[in-house]
Formats: sequence, C-alpha cells, structure tokens
Amino acid sequence: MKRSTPGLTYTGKVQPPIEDFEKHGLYPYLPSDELRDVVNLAIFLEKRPLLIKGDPGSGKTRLAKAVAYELGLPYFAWHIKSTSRARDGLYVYDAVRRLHDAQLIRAGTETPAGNDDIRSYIKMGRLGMAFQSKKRAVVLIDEIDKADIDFPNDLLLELDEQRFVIEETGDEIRAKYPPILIITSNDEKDLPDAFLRRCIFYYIEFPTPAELVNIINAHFVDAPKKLVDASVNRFMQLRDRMDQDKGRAGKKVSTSELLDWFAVLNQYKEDEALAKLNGTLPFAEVLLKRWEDHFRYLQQDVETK
Amino acid sequence: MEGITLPLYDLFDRLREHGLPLGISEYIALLRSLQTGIGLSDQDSLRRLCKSLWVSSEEDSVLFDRLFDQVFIQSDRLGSSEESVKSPKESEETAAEAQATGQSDLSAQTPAQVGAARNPSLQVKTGDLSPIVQSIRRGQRNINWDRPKYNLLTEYFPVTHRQMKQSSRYLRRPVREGPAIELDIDATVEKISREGLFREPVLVPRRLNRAELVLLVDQGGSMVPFHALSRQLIDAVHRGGLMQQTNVYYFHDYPAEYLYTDRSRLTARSVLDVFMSFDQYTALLIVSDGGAARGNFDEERVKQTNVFIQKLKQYARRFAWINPLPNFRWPDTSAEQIARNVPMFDMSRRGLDDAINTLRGRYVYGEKSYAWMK
Repeated sequence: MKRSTPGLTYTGKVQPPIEDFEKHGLYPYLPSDELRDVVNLAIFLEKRPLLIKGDPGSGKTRLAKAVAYELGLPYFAWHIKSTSRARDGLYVYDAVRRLHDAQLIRAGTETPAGNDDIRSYIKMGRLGMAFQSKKRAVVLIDEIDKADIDFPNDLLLELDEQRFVIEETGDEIRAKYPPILIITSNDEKDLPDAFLRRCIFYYIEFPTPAELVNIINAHFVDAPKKLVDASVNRFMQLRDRMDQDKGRAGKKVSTSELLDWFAVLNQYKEDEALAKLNGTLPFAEVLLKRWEDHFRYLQQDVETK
Repeated sequence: MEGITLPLYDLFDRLREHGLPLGISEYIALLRSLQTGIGLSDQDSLRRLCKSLWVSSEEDSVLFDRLFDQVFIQSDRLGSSEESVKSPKESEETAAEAQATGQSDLSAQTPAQVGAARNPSLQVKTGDLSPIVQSIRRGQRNINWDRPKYNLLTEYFPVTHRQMKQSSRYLRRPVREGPAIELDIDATVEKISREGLFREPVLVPRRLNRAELVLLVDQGGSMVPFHALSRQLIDAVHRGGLMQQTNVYYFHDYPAEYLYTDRSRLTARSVLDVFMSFDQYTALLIVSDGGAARGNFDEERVKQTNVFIQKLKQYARRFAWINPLPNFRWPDTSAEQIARNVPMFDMSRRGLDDAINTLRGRYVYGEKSYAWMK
C-alpha cells in the first residue's frame, strides 16, 4: 500500500535556531518517542484528530507549533473560549456590516460599486483557512473542553468529509489536503463519545529526569552542566514529594515552571546558583503557586535543615 | 466466513462489549496502520497503536491493558491475583487458543501475531517502513496509574457511567445572561421598521445553562455497598453534566441539622446554611436507600426524613430521590413511606431519566408510579 503523504514524518529532532526563540515565539520541543509515533500516526491516518491530554504545563499546546515548524507546514491556532461555536472555526459571516453598508448605499452616501458582493462579508475561520491552504496545514484546537458540550459534535461532519458549505453563498469549501489536527484538552469536561471515537488519544506523561535535562539544554544552550543537573535534581525532589502528597489530583510543578525557574537561576553565576540550590528552595514563588504549597514545602525545607 | 482471519478482532470485540464507543471505521483505521507496518515491531508498539486508536481516556486505558493482556496471554506477566479474577470459561478459551493456532474456526480468538503470520499483506513491510515505530524506550507498564489494583467494571452496576452522564445532560436551564453579544433578529427587524432606518442591531446575552445541582448522598451504614455507585454518579454529574455548579453533601441515614462536605463526614455545614445558598435554578437530588437495604421499618427515620423534606420544600423548587435498590424492594420498609412523600426512583437508566425529568418539572410523580402503590 502506498503511503498517501510521502515524506511527512515528524522526528522531533529539528529545533528552531536560538535567535528565533524570542523573535517568533518558537521554542525547542523534545517529544518522547511515544508522542512522536502518535503524531506520525495522526499524519498518516489523515482524518483522525490527535487528542492530547496531560497536566498543565506539560507541553500540550506547544506540540502543534513544533510539528508545523519541523515539517515546514502552515500553522493555524484556534484557541477555544467558553463562547466559541464550531462554525466560528469554519467561517464568520458579518451580517451586521452588510446590513449597515446596504443602508448607506440606500441613503446615497456610498456608491453600490463593489460593495454588493456577499463574499466580501465572509471571513474564514482557522479551520476554513487550513482547508484552503495550498499545503497540508497543522491546526491546533486549544482547550476544546472549554467550549459548549455540543462543540466537538458540531465539527464531526466537517472533519469526516473534509468539506463544509458556506450557507450564505452556497459555496462549498473542500480541503485540498486534510489538515493535521491537534486538539488539547484539560479534562475539565468530558468530551462526547461520538467525537472521542474518532480521535487518536495520547496522554503526555511527565518527562523523566534525563529528558528534563535535555529539555533545559535545548532551551538554554550554554547552561553549565552542573547547574542543570542540580536544578533538575532539586526540582524532581519537590515534584516527588508533591506526588506523594497529592497523587494525581492536585496541581504539581510542571515542565514549563521548571523552565521559568531555571531561567531565573541561570541569571546568577554558576557557583552562586549552586549555593542557592543547596539552601532552602530558591525562588519558590516561581514554582509554588498556592499558599498551602508555600507553607508546606518551604516549612519542611526548614525543618530538614 | 470460515478461514478469514481478522487480526485483533477479539480484542476489539471485547472492548466493545465493555462499552467503549468503537465502530467499524476505528477497526479499519487499525488495519490501515498495520498494513503500513506501524505497530508491528513488537508487542508494546502494537499495544500503543491500539491504545491510541481505540482508547480515549485514562480510565478506559486501564481496562484496555487488562483485556490486551488477556488476549496476549503471557504467564510471566500475569500476576496470580489477575488469574483468579478471570472466569473459568475465559481461561479455557485462552488455553485452547494457545494450542489451536492451526484451526481457522477459532480465528476470532487468535492473537494478531498469528493473524499477521497468515495474512501475507500484513507482514510484507515490517522491515522497510518502520523507522516510525521502531524504538521503544519505556514500556507503558512503568506508568503508575495510582488506582486500586482491581477493576470495577461498570457493567456490574444497574446503570453505566456513560448512561449516568447522558441522563444528567438533560438537566438544563438555559437563561440569557452575561454580555449582550448575540443578535436578536426579530427585535432588530422590528426596530428598523419602527425607525425606518437601520442604525444598530439589537443584541441580547447568550443563553447559558444556569442549572445547579445539589447532591445529597447517604454515606455509611447500609449504604456502604453502594458507595462505589454513588461515587460514579457524583463523578458523572461533575464532569459529564453541563451544570453551572454541582455541590455534593453527605449525610447518614437522614439529613438532620447538619450536612457534611466530605465523605468521612468531618466538615459540617448547617442544613439551613446550605438551603440559603439555593436559588430558583437549584435542583436537589438525594441518593439514599431510605432503609430499603436493611428491609426494616424505622419510624424515626421516616419521621425525620419527612421533617427534612418539609423544610426542603420551602427552599428548593425541585428535588428527587434516587434509591440504589430496585423499587420492588421498597414495600414494607421505611423507603415505602418516604416514596409516598418524595419522588423516588431506582438507580437505573429509566429511573435516572425520570428523576432528571422530575428536576426539570416534566414528570408528574403520583400515587400510581409503582405497581405496589395503591
């Protein structure tokens, strides 16, 4: 059997150059091997969205951009709000502006030329843009669980058939290439079964310490090795302790917080930072966000000294 | 259909039996992936492939692992506890399966490796195409799921978790609230015709679901066998429902002065305090056996329950009672007396639907709701 999209294989090895970090909001992304395989499965199966779950700060949202960057594909991010409707992602028809314009024409303040075209009042949504894209596109639907419960179901037909009709004009928009769809969920609400059935599901586990070291090294290119190791160690101590206390339930320190924390530590000279790591948890405000956590973990620190 | 081998069909079928929402297209997706060599490098990668295609939550993932292990029976991995859980019939089947690889009539039970071996098209491309799936560093087994070592199958319950969620979704009270962002076409047209010119549209707030649900759960004593069931229900309305807010309180036997916010009944809140937080959209659902589990008649319990209900009626417009025991067990117990006073329903799909309808004001509970009520 021929593979329908030759050459599109995500390796997770291509990272943006360091000068792009700040400028274009591009950051290195080091997926686990399992995650990489699952992304490739989604690329291969074409019509099946990849549903990513995981703790906050585990890199759910960043994945889509990393995939788009490595494969050199256009990237469309659709961030869901509680008021988002499924159709907003396909297209928006600005009826009010059209009515307004029509009024002005009737009142004689504007000439009818050009303004009567209904198509000029239709604006494509993110998914609509991806359907029209001349290359396969990567679409991120971020935090789909924030939307109404019917939201995912309203997208089923469009995703299955890779087309939709603009009701106002009767135009049919057909996807030139099936977009690579990456959906993230924070698991605040369950998604409907009919939608889940079609998804490829992956849960991002917390990285191993070795992976964390790699992640830090990718973000901070010339960070001293000793400091990286020491801070990952310290961080894992805290995380393990939170793991024991909270199990799967509570908010635990995440990869993204580790990166922020390391950024602060890295400001100091190596020996100074190492000395700080040996005392009570330095810059705890970056890692501990709740008063209880502050109290509990810093208190323990003092007691063990 | 004799002689046709469907790889992993047995696993697929069992997952369906356990209520996972899977259809033919999900099976075909697996076949397509297998045909290009994805997931064929070893058992763990096959496991991961099936899991990512067929499983969509962490809970189901535990079930999946168990069924996968059953299909690929591996004596070194199966602990003795898991062995004893399996029914004798299943063990027989799997034992037979191990020997019967040559017989095609047992094909449905045959693991995929055998299927792949016999189906040449599946085998061709394992070598050249699988850089994608070759490397596996961490087996999925290392994941600590942090849950009990046994699995409670939802089928054990009179109503499944999915059904609970589906029922609870009907509890909706759409109310227009918040910023005015939705166009009211009728009002806009009316305004244009009145003013003779369109100036600006009439906007109204969006409809939001204002339904609030308060669950009162009987905990301890005769309810102990049903704790798992009430936990399922709480979870279903919490995460599956569309309610703006869900509060859970616990009590023992009957709610008296205080309700408790935790399962062990340590943190108390006065009943009146809870009642005062109700508004017109609040619906209240009581989960208790009402004395039907012990099967005796407890006058004090009936009396106190009625006192509570009287008080409740002044604050909550709609409430219902879910009884984990089937309704034929209620007569001649305290539950019967309570059921004559409060809309009480079984913990079944039908009963849950009726209870939710009661909370929506669409079900009239009366003398003839049950055959034994005369």
